[in-house]
Amino acid sequence: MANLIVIAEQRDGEFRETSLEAVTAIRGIKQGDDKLSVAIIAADPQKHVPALSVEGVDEVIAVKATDDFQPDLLEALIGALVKDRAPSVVAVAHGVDAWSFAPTAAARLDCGLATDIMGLKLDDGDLVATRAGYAEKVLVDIDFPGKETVLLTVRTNAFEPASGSGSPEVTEMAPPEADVATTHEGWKPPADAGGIDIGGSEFILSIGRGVGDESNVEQYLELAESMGATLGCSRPIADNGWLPKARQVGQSGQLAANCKLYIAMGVSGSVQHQWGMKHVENIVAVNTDPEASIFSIARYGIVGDMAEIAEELENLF
Amino acid sequence: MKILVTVKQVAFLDDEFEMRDDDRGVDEDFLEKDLNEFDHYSVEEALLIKEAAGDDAEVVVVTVGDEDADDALRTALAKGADRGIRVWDDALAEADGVAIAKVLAKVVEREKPDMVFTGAQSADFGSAVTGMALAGLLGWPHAAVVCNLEYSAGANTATLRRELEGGLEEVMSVRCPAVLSIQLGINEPRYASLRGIKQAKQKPVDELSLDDLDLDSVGSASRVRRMYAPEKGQAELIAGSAAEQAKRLAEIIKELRGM
Amino acid sequence: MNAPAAKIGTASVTPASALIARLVEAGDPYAALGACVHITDATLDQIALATRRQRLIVAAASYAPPRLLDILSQDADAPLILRLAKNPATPADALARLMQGRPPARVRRYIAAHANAGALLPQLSQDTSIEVRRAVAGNAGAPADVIARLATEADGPIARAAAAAPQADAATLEHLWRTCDEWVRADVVAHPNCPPGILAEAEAQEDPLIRRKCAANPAIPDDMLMRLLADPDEQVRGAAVRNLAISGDRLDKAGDPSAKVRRLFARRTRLARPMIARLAADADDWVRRWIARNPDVPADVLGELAQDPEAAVRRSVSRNPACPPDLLSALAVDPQPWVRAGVALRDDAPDAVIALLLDDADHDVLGALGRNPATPANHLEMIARHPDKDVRRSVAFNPAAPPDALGLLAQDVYPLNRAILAGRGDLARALALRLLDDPEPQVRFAAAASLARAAATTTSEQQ
Repeated sequence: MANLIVIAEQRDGEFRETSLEAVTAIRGIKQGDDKLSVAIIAADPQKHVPALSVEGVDEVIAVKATDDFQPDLLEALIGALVKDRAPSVVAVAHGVDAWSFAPTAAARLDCGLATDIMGLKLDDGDLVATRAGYAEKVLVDIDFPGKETVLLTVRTNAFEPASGSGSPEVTEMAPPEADVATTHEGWKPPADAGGIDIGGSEFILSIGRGVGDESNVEQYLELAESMGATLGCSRPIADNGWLPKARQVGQSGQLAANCKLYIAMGVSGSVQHQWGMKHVENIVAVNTDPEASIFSIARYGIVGDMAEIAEELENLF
Repeated sequence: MKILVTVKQVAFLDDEFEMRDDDRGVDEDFLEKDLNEFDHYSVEEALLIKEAAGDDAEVVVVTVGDEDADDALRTALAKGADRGIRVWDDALAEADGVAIAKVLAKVVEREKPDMVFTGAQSADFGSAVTGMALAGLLGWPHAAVVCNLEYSAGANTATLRRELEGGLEEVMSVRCPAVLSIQLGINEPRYASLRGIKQAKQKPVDELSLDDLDLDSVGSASRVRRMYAPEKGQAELIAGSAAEQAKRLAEIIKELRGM
Repeated sequence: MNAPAAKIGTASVTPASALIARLVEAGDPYAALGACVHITDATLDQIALATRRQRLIVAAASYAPPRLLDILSQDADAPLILRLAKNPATPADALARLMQGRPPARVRRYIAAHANAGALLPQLSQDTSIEVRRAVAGNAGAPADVIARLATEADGPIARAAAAAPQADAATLEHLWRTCDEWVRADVVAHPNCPPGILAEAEAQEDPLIRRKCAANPAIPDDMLMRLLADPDEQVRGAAVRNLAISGDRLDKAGDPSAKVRRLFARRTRLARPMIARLAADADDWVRRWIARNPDVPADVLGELAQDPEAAVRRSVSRNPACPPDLLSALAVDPQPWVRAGVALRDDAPDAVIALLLDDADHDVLGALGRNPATPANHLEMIARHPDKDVRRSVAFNPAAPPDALGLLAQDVYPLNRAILAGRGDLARALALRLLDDPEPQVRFAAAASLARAAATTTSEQQ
């Protein structure tokens, strides 16, 4: 029998669904009489038990402490669970929160560690995790020779959230002692909107050299407005004085920090431009050159003339 | 006052590439190497603190890597770091982030800096492991993904903002010395002047082996079993006439925007 | 003409041989590659292609001299072949050589899509791989007979490519119209070679997509276009308004109920005076933004638009080539920096306007002045010293930039600024020599290319 543990997370009392994706990842390697436990730290952990009562979860470990995000406490919890239960796997959702404590815990406990995993399996008894590298151009299968416990952080959207009903036992656990070296001081006030706000925009339509000449730029401002997008551009467009610097995306320009959908038309995708937008989850590239590097980071690609596509889009918004 | 900044020479892959014969890595001929993007920001943050503190402050850059990694150190030295340390041993060829952190922990013990900065992640594999693993091994206070920092050289605490899930930024204070992993955008990294680049060639770089650090071997937390190309390219190509392509694109936009 | 390499150490030291000697001594592959663009020399070739990494980089580089790509094609392994097939600079002979090696379908597909593949297309159009044949159909250079033969295949992607192929003939288009779905038919009726009979059929179709594409056909008969201008569907009317087959002065529907259609009117040239006046007074901001850019708008109407409450309209006036000097003077003190930046970009702005703008603190304004040839030389030098690297870079784009300002940019800390300087067609020899030692490979490449171009010209003039 092996102990499998998922650390679930909440934010200000609100359960984080990504924790259920980690449950799915671990459920996939659960065998025979393995025990799958999910631990959660919260001011009122009982409140989250229903959300965690999904198929395959045998136990919820309820740790009554705080609703604040406290990485030192999470690290201490992992430490206590590894010591008490010698789990074969401890998993948590990957993200900037996990960056704060997962590697710290793994290094201290001398566990195996793989971050941002998108696949997990047992191969002849060996745990094998899959992650991507080199800007998603390669996949890597990783194993953990000689490690009793392996800590994993699980990529968002790589696994379906666990569903199906279950009736886990609930174990209450006192919060472990943690050396908390940080003090919460508050939150940064939200950035003020108004004017051109590439950093705050969730939807950006961006144009590059392919636009041809200045008189065409106006058409994309119009299209962006009708689609409800902010118009961005690559460096040459701003250098030409065709659009203000405030619209330039990339190094020496703006970072599309909150963008969820980025449509790049006639943008080749230089390293400088990619700096400002490659993190965006949904990138659509429109370019006549099928080899333009922008396609390598896009989720959707259209090989075609940006002017034609723009003209067609004008009819659809 | 001393700030230690860990840096990494990272590799970028050509659009078309081939695997090594052992299928555990990419053929070197298809790799382009450069200083990790995040490290430009951590080096800059250290230099800003040094400049505010005056001449007493020292910025030391350290990397774990073979001769190729010298370029990363020289890039940081050209910007104004005072000296470099490069640790290498053939036994480190397959070291992962945790193993690198074990080596760096020894360097920290040796150098006794007041602060350690690392990049929030590296641009090649993006594991986001080394910096916070180093903090764990040292038992130092730490904060990951720092996007704003107020710290004056030698102070007992630093006030900073760190990024959390969902774009939140938490303001917090941390006991020092601490290990901070630095996020992009925290500052505007400088470019080395042509003079700085020349001078960097004269600045001292210590080359250390595992022996020099009293390490016999360094265990990794993971091992690469196999590396391979995904079956299909990432972008889903939208085919058809321009009108068809635009129609599909409009559907995607409306779906993602909830229109 | 490329200059032949002179032997080093002989009495006839040409500028080319002197440069070659210097580059050979430096041994820098990027500088050697830059020089190879203009000079033929076996030693430089060797330096540029010295390592496998270097050969892979050159084979994939669209800036690589075709001659080197041809050399690489002579003894290419699989990764090199793939890169050469994808590289738009690969010359026809090299592509033919790649084909002789019976490359895999993926490589044949790239060759079939290559702009220099013309002579290979008939052969590739009979390829066993459907992907390769589709790529041929999508190649703008595919001749009519190849398109005609491919169009007989009942394949969706081929039909789409064929309907959009510039050289598709009337018979092929007719075949596609009879056999294909609405998307293909739409492209058929937009094709300049579409037979008149099909256009007539299309005009009567219920599907607005077909009528819209019909209205976009550049070879459409006059009377049909006039009818489509009155189509009940705004998209059809919009396509008709865009169609340059009808002269602007014959358009008189500025009262179109659709603002989208009126915006398109405002983009047309040679509009009649009363129409311009109406569009300039339109309630829709975008109609006024477009008409304010229109070079046919008379000065008095531009004067009105220059006082528009919408800043974007005033910006459009500042970018209108017909904008008179007095209006530029007025717009130069506009409260919106983006309007002032529009004026600062104009090389026909009066000296007093330029002088006024030079005191502006806005970076877009200063960047525009930096690239404006009308900006006085001493001020360009000041802009080249500005603390903002993007403002400084603007001077590198200025054809009238004085040597001192360019000298400053050669020492700029921002590598991109040096790279753009190095890429100037009129780069002075002294600057090029300095940039030859730059830490950035891209800068050294451009500097060596500049020196090689000059040397090749001088050498061939001497002979």
